Amino acid sequence: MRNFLLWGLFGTLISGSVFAKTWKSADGSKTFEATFRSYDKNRGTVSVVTQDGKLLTFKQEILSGEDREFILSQEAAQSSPAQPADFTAELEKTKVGKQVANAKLKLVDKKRFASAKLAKAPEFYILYFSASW
Amino acid sequence: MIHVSLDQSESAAEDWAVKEQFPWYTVVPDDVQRSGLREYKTTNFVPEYALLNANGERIGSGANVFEQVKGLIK
Repeated sequence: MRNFLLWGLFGTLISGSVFAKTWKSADGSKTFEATFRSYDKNRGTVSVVTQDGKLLTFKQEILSGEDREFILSQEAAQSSPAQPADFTAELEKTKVGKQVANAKLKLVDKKRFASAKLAKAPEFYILYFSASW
Repeated sequence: MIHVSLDQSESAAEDWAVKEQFPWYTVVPDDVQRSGLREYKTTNFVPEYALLNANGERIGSGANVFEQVKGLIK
C-alpha cells in the first residue's frame, strides 16, 4: 500500500515535471515532456523519463535537430575528462553538495545499480527518505 | 531529487530500485550515515521529503516540496 501511494504521489507531482524539457519529433509534428536521462553513443539511443515516471529508450533520429544537439551537449558534458574534477570542486563549496559528494550515488542501469555523479551543482535539493520494507 | 535509502542493505535498496526502475539518484544505506545526509531526516516516518538549499537550510518538507521547488527555480 505504501508503495502504491508513493508511486501515485510521484506520478502526479514529481517525475520529470520539475526538470523536464519539451522534446520535438524530427518533423516537428509531435512534442512531449520528459527529462533527459542518458545517451548511448554506440547504439544511437537516448533514454528519457516521462512525466508519469516511465523510462523510455528510443533512437535519437526520431527527434528534432535541436534535441539531438541537446543530447550531444549533455553527453559531452558527462564524458568530458575535465568535468568531474571541476564539478566536484563546485559541489564541495556548499554543505549539502559536500555531503552528496561524499556519498556514492547510484542510478539504475537496467538490472543493477551503477555509480553515478550529479550532472551539475544544484541550488536546491529534495531528499527523499524511504525504504522498501 | 536524491533518494536516501533507509533499507537494511545495498542489495535490498538495489532490488527495489531495479524492480521499480527508479529514474533518480540513490544514496545506498552504507553511505547514508557517512555522508551526513541523515541529519535532514526529522521524523520517524517514511517516506519523508526534505527540500533544502545548498547550505542545508530546510525550505520545506512533506509531499508539497515538489510544488515548492517549482516556485524556487522559476
